Amino acid sequence: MQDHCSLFIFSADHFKQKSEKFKAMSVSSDQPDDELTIPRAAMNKMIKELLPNVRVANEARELILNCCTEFIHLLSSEANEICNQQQKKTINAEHILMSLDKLGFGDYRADAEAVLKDCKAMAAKKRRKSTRLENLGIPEEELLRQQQELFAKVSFRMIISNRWYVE
Amino acid sequence: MAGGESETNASLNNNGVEAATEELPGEEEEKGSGLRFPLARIKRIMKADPELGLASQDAVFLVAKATELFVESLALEAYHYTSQSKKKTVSRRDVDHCIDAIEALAFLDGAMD
Repeated sequence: MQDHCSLFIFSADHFKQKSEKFKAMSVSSDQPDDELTIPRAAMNKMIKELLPNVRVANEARELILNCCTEFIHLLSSEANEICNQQQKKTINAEHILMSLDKLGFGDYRADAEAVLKDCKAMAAKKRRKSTRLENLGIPEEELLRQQQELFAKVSFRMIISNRWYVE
Repeated sequence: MAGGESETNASLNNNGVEAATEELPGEEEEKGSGLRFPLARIKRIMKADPELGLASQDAVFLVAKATELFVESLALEAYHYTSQSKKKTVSRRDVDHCIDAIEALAFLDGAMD
């Protein structure tokens, strides 16, 4: 345990040595997430669609899979640095896009930004959808008015029932 | 993100072990823009880095999409070497070749065992 801790601290100090840092992470068996990869089937499906009549060796698949994990870490780290430099608390979309440019993956920007637009459109759609379901299309002011009416009714009924009870 | 989280939990419950292959229905909403990789998994991979702070959903989305593009690029590039060497099967060596040849992939050098 002590060795793992010191190895981790060493790696934290040498943040710029990113590959060492991630070696430390995988050495420590305390982290259940160190074997995490993207789902194999999803990746295989993508490759199959891209190269339909091509065989891909399992070793090659395994390597690509692991490269993906490294890529995610690289991209996230870079975005994290940019985020910190901007003294922001949350890594946002722009940080990721800047990281892509910085890391030599600027080609991905156009497709990535297109996805972002879809994401926002979906999120807006979801919000409208849930609003519709909850309120049955009734605007907020109307709902408030109805709510107040209900409260008024309830109070009146309670007053009446109390009176009866008393009598 | 709820859909993604349930995918991860369900996989653990069903098999007792992380089922790296299955994707459950109910993720359709997140994948409306054609994303293949579950956001929850991407997020967990990102979070494995203790240095990382919070990330917005948009950011995770972008990482997911970028990773897909990365897989495609790497596979395509590897295939170039495969066809050059007149082979029919993309081998590990073809992928290694990419890592050596492309500057943007230098980060993979030595990170792989």
